[in-house]
Amino acid sequence: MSLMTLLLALLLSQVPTEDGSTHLGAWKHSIHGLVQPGAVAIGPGGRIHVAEVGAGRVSIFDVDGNALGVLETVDPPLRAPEGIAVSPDGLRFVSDSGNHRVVIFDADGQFKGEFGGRGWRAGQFLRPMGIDAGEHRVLVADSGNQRVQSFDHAGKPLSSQPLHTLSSEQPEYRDTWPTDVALNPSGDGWALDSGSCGLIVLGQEGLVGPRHGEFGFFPGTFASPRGFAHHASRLYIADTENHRIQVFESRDFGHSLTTTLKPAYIWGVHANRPREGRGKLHYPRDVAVAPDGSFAAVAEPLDGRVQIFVRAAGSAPQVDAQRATTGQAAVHFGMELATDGPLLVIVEPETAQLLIHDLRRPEPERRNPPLLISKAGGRGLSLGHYRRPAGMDLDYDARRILVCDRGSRRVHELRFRHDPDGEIAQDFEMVSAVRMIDFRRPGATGETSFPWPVEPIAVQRTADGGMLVLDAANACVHRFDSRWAHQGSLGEYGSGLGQLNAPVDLELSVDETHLFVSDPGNGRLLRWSLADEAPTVVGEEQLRGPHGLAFGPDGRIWVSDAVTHQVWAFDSELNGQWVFGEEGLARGGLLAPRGLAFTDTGECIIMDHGNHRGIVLDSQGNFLDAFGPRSYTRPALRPERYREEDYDE
Amino acid sequence: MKTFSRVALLVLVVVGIWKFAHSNHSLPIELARLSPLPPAPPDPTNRWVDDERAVRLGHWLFFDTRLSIDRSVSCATCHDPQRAFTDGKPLAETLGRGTRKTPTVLNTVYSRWFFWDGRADTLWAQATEPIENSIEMGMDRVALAHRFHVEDDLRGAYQDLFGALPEMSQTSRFPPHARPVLNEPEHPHSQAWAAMSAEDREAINRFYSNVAKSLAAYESQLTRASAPFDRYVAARAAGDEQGAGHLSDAAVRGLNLFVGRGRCTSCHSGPTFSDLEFHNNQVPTRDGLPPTDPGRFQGARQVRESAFNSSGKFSDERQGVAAARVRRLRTDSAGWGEFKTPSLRNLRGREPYFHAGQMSDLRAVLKFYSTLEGASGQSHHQESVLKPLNLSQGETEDLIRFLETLEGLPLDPRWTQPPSGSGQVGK
Amino acid sequence: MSRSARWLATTLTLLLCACPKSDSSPPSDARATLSQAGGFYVRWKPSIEPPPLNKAFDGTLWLSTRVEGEPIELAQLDVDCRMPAHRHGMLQEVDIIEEGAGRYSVRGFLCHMAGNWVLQVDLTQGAITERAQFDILIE
Repeated sequence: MSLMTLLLALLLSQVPTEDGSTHLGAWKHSIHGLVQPGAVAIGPGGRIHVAEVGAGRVSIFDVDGNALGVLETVDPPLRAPEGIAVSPDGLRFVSDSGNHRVVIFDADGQFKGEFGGRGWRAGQFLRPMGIDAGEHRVLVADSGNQRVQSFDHAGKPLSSQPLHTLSSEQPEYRDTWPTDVALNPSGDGWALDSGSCGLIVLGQEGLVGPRHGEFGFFPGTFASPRGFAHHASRLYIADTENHRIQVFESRDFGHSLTTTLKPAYIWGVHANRPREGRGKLHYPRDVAVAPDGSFAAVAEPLDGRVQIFVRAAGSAPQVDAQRATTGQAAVHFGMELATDGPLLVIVEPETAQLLIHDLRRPEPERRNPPLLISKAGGRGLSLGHYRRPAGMDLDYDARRILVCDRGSRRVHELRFRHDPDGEIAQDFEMVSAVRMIDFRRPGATGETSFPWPVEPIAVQRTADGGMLVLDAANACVHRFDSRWAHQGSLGEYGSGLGQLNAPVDLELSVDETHLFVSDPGNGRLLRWSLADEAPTVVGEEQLRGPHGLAFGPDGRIWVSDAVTHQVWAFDSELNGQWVFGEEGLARGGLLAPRGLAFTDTGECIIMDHGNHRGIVLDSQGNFLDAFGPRSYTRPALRPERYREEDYDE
Repeated sequence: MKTFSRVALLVLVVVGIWKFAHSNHSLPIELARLSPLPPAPPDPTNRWVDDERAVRLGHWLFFDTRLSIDRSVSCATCHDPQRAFTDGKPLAETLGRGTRKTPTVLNTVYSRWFFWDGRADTLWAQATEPIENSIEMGMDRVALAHRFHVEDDLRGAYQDLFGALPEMSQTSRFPPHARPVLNEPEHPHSQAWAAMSAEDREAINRFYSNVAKSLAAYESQLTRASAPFDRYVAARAAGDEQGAGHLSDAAVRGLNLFVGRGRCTSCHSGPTFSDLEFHNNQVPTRDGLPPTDPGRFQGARQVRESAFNSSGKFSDERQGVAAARVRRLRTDSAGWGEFKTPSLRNLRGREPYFHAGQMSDLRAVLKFYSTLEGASGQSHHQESVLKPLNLSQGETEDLIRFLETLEGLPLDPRWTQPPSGSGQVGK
Repeated sequence: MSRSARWLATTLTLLLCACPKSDSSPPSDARATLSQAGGFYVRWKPSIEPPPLNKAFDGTLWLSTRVEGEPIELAQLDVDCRMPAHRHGMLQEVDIIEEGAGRYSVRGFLCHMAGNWVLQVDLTQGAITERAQFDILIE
């Protein structure tokens, strides 16, 4: 046996195999203070690399949480880095999603090169996310293009199998959204499809194997899983909206497409209290395992932390039966809301439902939270069912709701019944679906073709019965008439005047003369004068991650900022003023506020998304109320009893 | 004479019209739906089901331990006729211990799906599984064919009915053991099965399905009907508001609860007191930990992919109702943790209850529905449809009294024991 | 022609005239509705009335562009029955068979629980899908 072979054997013998005597999952400590950590990778020597999506950088720590360095670029800076991988020889590959490229850093942290660029051709990307790097190969989840691409370390597409196209005409797979990838030692790999909630085998020559897993809440099913890791023939999947890590043994590993997954164990229970950690999981976005298998890291962007877990005795964690089954159902507020008349509609992403609330008060003199009266929708592919519901428009007088579905690339129109003078009562048969437009179908945008099918992220009805649809993929706004015939578009991709990078919301002025679009990709708003389509940049100095938009009764455009955790308002001269919010949980605190809307009575409702609650302000920006789970609303409702130390990990 | 005949005819017509007008006039629709138990539905997927020879062979095989690998276990080991065709255990246990309770065979001829998770869609397809299950009878279909080939009485009885066995003496074509093992292509049985020719695999499957069909023919005889409740309903239909006293006052109160406030007929509907479909009633798990049994979620997939389902080549009616049903079956994740609604007829002897025998008796069952204490299988994302009934002790007893009235007439005794004879099949 | 042959021919002719021709137009007791956005008109008749509880039944749909309008042929249809109160649908898919002149046979309905159901008829034309629906009470 040669010396090299002997050394290799010795080296391999140091890699712990999963013999069932120990398992990963015992909490050690957490690294705090990160800005939306969305991806994590562990390189040689156990160096933890964390992609901070909200800060445009990758921060590096040792296993004890000591900071070791930062990976950044200058021109352009990293913009929403959603993936990080470390090759065995120490090269770092960063999925710079906002710039649609992969950036390479050498072992010393110096910029080495980049590849990609926005587009649909081979070698280009649209919002790349998860990434993995082996000895020779780099695998990239080209999420917006619904495919996985393979490159060498220099960024050259691999001729042997450059592309795995994951979407197909089969209805179940049309909303494929690959968010993470992993290589296996034999050179093939896996992709995690957050859209259909399954793991896909990637085979030779671009072949795509069957999916394993599907949507659900029970073992072997997933809810928007966003990241995963492979180590020692085990797969660790961050089952994000189920608040846990599911671990599987993978068998028939290698060149076969017929891989089976055998459940090994589940680790993590749902964090119940705000900021609760110590091994409890909130929305785990990514998981990484150290090369020697001695520890794992789990990234939780909403909590600004990465939790470190080490090995413990036994083949699986002890399950706390009390915590594992929580009994009563609990709603989860998503990012988006719409309100008009006496109704408030909030998206619940976990179930893809719309939560419909009545804002009226049983006792007029006494304030009460919005009362849940109906749930509509659910996950599915038919009219009135969704994959990733996003922005909505509510027209109470017309009894209509428009709903964007980013996952299925559709806008749905719903109809509902409601008596504004009737009793406040639950009515689960309140909503029926009217019609939908499917942007994957030919002719959806008339004679005009766009590089990608429209990805509707926000919608607003216009006075003539048509609608404006904000398109996240093509970075523009589409106009449709009342028959939903395409009438043109406004805006294009870029960072210049009149250009959008990653728009999330739109708001038309009441007189329909001006249109505002929030664009966290460019850290600003754009305002168009619709008469001449002249664009104006708004809030470049004040905003970093603008999200929800709404006109207040004072005529100003109010905007939430998910990065600064604030609400700003801009007047007709586009002068901005801070209205409310700072990072926190107490009264006056917000955490990644998203959707924002004004009720007919002039109150502002904000989806305080990171704090799982809604916040209600008056038209001056004064706090009025908080609604949602008690553990999250109490700090705002009882400020006299709030103690920050009660809410650390 | 002619006049007399006309008058008699007129009287008959008038009486007939009167009887028709007055029949069922006092019978609420909720009761009309629950009784009587109709005759056993036909099964066109099994052309042997009404064949007396098949019934006789199936009767014998049901009690024959030669269907198990070590000759220690027969169908009757778990489906004990003296225990309402169950085994009295919370979890089935023979060669190994299972994860679910042994269901009864009584009245299963009325089922639409079989097993707790419905992974078989005919009575004969159900019979193919326990024989090959390594923790139940441990056999494999090729070894079974060898056994039939070697044992004179089995061979003779089979051939009299179904024709020639496969050419089992050709051991190069038919290894000692082979079967397709679900999700285990590396299993030695799977590999041996894959090595066989397609024709030989089909011949074995044909043999195996025939054996299963004869078992199903016997099991189709195991029906118990004409319970006191049925006699009560018949009396009510005839106009006797008291139901001719076939139900005690307590049982009547229990019946009213059952169809009224209890809303038991939401799932326990129809003359079998089962909607024949699947629900997750959040019954507590045995260990108090989160449930791990996928139930219908897995069963729906398995039945659609099964080689022995009613649309497959071994079905004798591939275009019928059952075949269409399995072809159309939805397999989404809503079925996770759902199990088949059991029939409430003939409950005596079938305890413990629920799919893992979690409840020792009817009082425990009703206490669960009354309080929903320990309800499981509910993610915090799910909405609970069940509401606690908050039954009083008296109401619980009334419901039990009512359920006791669903005991049908005893079976023909010949079906509850091995067939008499020389000890050889068919003799 | 002999007398008996004439008798036979006459009888046969009368019988044939008495037999109704196969008619694809909807019966008068078919339920009818305009779609939710007014884009099409649909009539529906189940094979068993009222539709039974937990028993398979079929149905027939007639689609037209409007009331007494042109029949819609080669329609891309999705048909389902859902129970809004329980937020679930049927346990099985249906088969849809086009029979011509806007008539579609739908096979395999199964409403397994008692209560209010909604029959949903989704017609896709181009990029737009529109729904017509009927309330069904299963008792």
